[in-house]
Amino acid sequence: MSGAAIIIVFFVLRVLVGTIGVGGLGSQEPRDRIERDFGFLLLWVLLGPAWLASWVGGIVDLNPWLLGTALALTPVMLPWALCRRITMPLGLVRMTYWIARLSMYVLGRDRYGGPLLAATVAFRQRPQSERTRAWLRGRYEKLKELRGGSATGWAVLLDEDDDDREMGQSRMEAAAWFDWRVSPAVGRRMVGEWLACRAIEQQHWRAALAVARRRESKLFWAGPKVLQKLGVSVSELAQAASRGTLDVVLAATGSRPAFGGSPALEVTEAVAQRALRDAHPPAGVSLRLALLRCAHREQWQAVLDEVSASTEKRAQAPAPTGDALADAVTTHLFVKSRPVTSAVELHRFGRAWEDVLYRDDTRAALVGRARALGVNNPEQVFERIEGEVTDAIAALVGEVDMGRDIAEPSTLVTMAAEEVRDQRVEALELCVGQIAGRVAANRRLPTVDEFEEFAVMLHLYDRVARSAADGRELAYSQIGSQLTDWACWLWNDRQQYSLANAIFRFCAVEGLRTNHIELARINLDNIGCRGG
Amino acid sequence: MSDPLRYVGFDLGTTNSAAAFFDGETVQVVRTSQGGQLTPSVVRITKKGATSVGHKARRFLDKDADNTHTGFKRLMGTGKTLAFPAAGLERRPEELSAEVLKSLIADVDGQFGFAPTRAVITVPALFELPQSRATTEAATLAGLEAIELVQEPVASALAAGWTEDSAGAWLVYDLGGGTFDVTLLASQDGVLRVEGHDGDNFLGGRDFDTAIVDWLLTTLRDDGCDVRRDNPAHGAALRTLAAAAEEAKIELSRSEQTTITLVEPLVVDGEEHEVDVPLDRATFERLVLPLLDRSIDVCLRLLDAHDRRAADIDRVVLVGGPTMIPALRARVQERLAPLAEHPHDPMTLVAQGAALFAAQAGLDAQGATASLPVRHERGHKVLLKYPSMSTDLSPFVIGRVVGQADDGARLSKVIASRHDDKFVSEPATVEEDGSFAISLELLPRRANRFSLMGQAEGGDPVTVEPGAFTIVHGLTIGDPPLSRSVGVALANDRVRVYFERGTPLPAKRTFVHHTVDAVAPGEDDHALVIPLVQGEFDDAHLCRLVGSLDVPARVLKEVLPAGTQVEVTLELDRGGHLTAQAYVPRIKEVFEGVAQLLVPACTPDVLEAELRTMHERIEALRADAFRMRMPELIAEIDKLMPDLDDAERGLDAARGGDEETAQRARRNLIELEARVVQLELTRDWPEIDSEAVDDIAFAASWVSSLGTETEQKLLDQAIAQANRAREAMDAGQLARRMRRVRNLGEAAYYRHPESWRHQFEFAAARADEATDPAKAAALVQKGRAIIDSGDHMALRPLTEQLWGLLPIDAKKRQRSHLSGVR
Amino acid sequence: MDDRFGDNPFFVLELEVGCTSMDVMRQADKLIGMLELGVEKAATYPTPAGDKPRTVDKVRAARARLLVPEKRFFDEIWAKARAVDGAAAQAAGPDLFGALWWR
Repeated sequence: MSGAAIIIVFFVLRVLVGTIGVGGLGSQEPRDRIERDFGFLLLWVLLGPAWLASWVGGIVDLNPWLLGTALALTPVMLPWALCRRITMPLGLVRMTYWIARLSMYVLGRDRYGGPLLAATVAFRQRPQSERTRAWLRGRYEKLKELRGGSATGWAVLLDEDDDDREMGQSRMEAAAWFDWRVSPAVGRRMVGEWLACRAIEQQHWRAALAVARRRESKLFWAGPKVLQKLGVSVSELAQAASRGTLDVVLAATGSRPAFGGSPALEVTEAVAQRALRDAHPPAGVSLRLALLRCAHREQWQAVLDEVSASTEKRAQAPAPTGDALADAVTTHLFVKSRPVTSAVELHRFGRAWEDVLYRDDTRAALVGRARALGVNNPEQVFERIEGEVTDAIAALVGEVDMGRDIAEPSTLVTMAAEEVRDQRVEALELCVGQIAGRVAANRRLPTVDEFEEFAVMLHLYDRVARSAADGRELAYSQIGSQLTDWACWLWNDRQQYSLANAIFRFCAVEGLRTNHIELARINLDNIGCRGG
Repeated sequence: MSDPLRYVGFDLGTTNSAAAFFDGETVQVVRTSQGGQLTPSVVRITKKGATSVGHKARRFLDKDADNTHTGFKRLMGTGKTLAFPAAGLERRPEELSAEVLKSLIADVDGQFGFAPTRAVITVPALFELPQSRATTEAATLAGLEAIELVQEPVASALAAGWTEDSAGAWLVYDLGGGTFDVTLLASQDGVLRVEGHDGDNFLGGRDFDTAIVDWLLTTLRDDGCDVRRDNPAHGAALRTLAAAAEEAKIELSRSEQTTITLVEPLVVDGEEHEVDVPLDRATFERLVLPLLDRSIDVCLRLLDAHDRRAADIDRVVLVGGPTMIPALRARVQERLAPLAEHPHDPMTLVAQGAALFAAQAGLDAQGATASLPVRHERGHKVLLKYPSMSTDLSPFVIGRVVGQADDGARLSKVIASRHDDKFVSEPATVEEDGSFAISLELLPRRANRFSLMGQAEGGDPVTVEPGAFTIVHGLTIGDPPLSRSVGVALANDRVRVYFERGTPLPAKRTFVHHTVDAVAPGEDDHALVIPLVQGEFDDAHLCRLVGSLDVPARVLKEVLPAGTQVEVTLELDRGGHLTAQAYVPRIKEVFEGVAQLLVPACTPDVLEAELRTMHERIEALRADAFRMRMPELIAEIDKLMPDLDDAERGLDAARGGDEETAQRARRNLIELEARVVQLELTRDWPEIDSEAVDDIAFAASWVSSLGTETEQKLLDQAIAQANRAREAMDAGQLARRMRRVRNLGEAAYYRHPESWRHQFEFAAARADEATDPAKAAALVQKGRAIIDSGDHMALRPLTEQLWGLLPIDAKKRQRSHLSGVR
Repeated sequence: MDDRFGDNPFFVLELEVGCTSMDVMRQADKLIGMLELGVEKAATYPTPAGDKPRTVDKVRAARARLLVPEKRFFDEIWAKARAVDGAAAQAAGPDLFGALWWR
């Protein structure tokens, strides 16, 4: 077979492979997995024997033509394996991209974004030139439609650029909102693994457990017709949300693991369970198997061991001495010097300050000292101290999840939390307000930057939600409808079906959780939309 | 150290400048080449380009007014230039100030035989950053290598404190030619501290002259000479009378009676009038009493702001020529506090304080520092650190051995002895790392010289180089505090304060901001703007814009989406020089340099427009106050009028090319605006309050019928907060709280099927105000079709689009100096 | 002063809460001298939150704060803190990002 023939076959196959690509959310007829699998079965049936024969014949006869044919067909037959095992670890960015373009089986759900994701992983394996970086970014910015793969790739790319893990988390969460049908499984796994590492880093064990066990309801890919089939109304979903059983109801609609199967997530689940002292820690065999499948398994093992051993090591709160001021300040230091505190702990600490600030004897002693120092108006200074303490508490409120009710709330903490919540709501409103302004003025950003704004919005939204028990309700009531408009504009005017769909899903879920039934219904309907 | 101590300070004044010299024990005012103590801040450039400064130039102020300039200090940092048409030159105020400084430097050289290269220069307490920076530039142009700036009242207090003993609270009452400043200081343990400033930009010696001229005009009118202020043709006559009035004012400080006489007859409308009017001190005092009381009211306002009463003040230090008026001195003592015990020269006190501050800053006039260089050959070489001036009678000298003696013996202990032999320190052990610390004892208010001796390990005496040093004991002041807060204007028209007033300089702070709008490369009209403002107001638009850090879209390689993190760092040096940088982690790039660090230009047009707006606002306020029968408000509005009149005068002066007065007027207008805003709030309060009550009722009714349990809880909370804001009459707080109340109310209300039709109709009625009326009209038409179809919920996105076209947010951005960050 | 404990002027200057203004001036001058001469023992100071590096700017800022009664009063409050176990010891949790195959 001549070289020219090989090239012709290659291109014919390339065209064939291209037609097998899976339709996205916006296409007229999204093809499902069976069709795609069938395409690849066909490819293998047609070419597989010839390819294998070329290898065997080439090796046995040492025939360079046959070997050449076998080699030339390899990227077509096993593109992902080639990328994953060779070009990606070697950091060959462009080569990874072009070979991955052939990998319809693994990356087909995001035909252009998936290869970009693979190229981004390759990019991260070794230091790269500025030109390569610019090339990669340029590819992202030129994407016609941003899907799950490219969203993940973009998050991975910026994760390297940016030391801001908080923002990185929001990007990954934003990528997680994309429909699985437009997100290559490998990308979804990466999102899940990243979020798991983040939760472990923050020692948010419940969050880690939630990531490892996260499932996605069928409602979100099949639309409201699932509800009709099940005979469940949106109002009933909202009621379930207010009772805290939304996930249970959604699970009943049928679901799949949100991030697919990942050994790292399995280990994360075990780590979180051990840290939380779960009554039924994971069984040995499956965990060992998962560990074996993990890259860098020794690091995962070390964390698992550390978590199991660290039960008794928890720092003890300083014992009270009877000097209310010294106790409050020392507690303050203790609370501030540790990375994670619970809302309960913060309220306890707030009450320690209240003992100083609102008790007559301690207050009188402080006023006396102020006078001795020559403070003109001790009462005024006293108020200032109170303000400073509130500010200090507000800073702590920012670090703690205040999103649940507390039995013995501290007034100081409650007030500070309200203040923090207000500031955060204002920031969220500004962000969404400018997006709305941009939509009204039809100012278009490159799609990756529209995604970035979604991530920023999620970040700000999450901050509001965490700042108070009612933060979520407040945040959604302020921005829900503007977000819906933005997503509609992305869908109608910009044909960004996947990103719009992700925003609809966010709006629908949050609408249900905050009992904005009408908006939730609109967004559920929108999820069911077919574009084009 | 064998060299004598030499510290020099300059008072770079608006009308007059002065220099002083301090040798560690006494302060001397430097004589000018003419034998006086003051150098008029006047510069003239002749046709041939020759520059003259001071008295020589002042003689030409009337004769060759075009080529002779004074008062340029007020223009420092404005970017304006002054023309010298005869020579065909233009000079910036910084360059003219440099000429004055050069003249002062020459005077120091003439009297003391050396030209200082390091000195302290004073600036007004309320100088803004661009003005301070311009002063530093003038010093560099004058050939000074290192300078420190100190605020005038601090210098005055230092100078007065050098001869006074008691601790306590002081007022520095500084009445200049055109402005009045008062500063509250506290002295404790020999350390002075600035507690606060206040002032009146439109009160000064010139107002006293104006009072005399007004009286004179009435007197002359009785004699048939009708000179009118509003007649431009009478300008020359008015200037002549003002000069005569100033002379009379000075004369009346010394004698009981004077006569205002003009050498040449006054020419008014072509007629000549002889002027020969007697004026006695009693009449003069009657004329200026309201002005004196106005200045004292400012002092009491300052005291009140710091929770003090006049009785708490131990003494008042008077600064400025007009403070020599006996009536002023009497009034100050009567209403405020006793004057400082020792007689101080109010004209040169500032310069003297500057020289004393130079000593504290260790700014030796010719470069010797408190860290002594090793110059001699034999002996153990040590580096010494000690305060060149100390309040503390037992300060430390810290040393470190940097070179062994030629004989090789290790230095084991160091002893300091005072030159009067009445104090010998404990032997201080030299530590492993070669350092040692010796506790000294100083004689009060003296330059204390000490000898340093070393001991080898066996106790043998060894020489230490340097073998002597001097510490002056006296009143000191902490680091120079910042006079006005500096911060970044935010997109919501608030200010993020970086440095609060009183922050010791130098200072550096970083805050993280987030962009509110996307900036994309190629959008050439877009830029990320970070406005830097100075002032004490919470609202950005009320603060002065002193600079701006811009990141134009054209320098970007990639998009900065909204929400991009920007780390802004502001740094202020001791001289008030501001540097700013913005780091954008996302693109790993640093943007530096303040695009503009100028006091904004103040043209007559700008001033006129602002004044017109202010008039309209005040008139509207007055009309409303009458209509609403609010007598207290009317009284408050009346109090604004004198300031408005002053601003009018400023406008006239600006039209006549007097940028200085124009700048003053502009500054006052900003302050006036803050007061008007407050009064407008008082006027609007009943309406704001009743609107709030209505909105609360609306929200309460809808949330109770269609809201969720959480919404009800949130609403109760928001209403409680709103009610607290209503009680406190805090409009800002109330607006924030009410926004929440409304949103909650609306969220419930919109659950009602008819709600969107009402909202649509309401927005449609305002469609003609839209930023894009054509688009709005199209939306309205589309909306009507939807109403006809009966699908009211479909009106929601449409109505919201319509709202987006109504111009509210744009206005807010404009007010925040177009800030692009939150 | 952004860190109430680490940057507390009393800790920076290693002074007791009851010290006089004169003590403040004297100690600040002494420390500035030591820092400018590079004397090692002045380079750090102990706080209940662990040892912190000392700089001339920190000393000057501390001096300025302690001379203002209102600010000093405020700083006195925070200076009452006692050292706590484990303060500043626990940083973040384990970093597993490096263990991901694709990072």
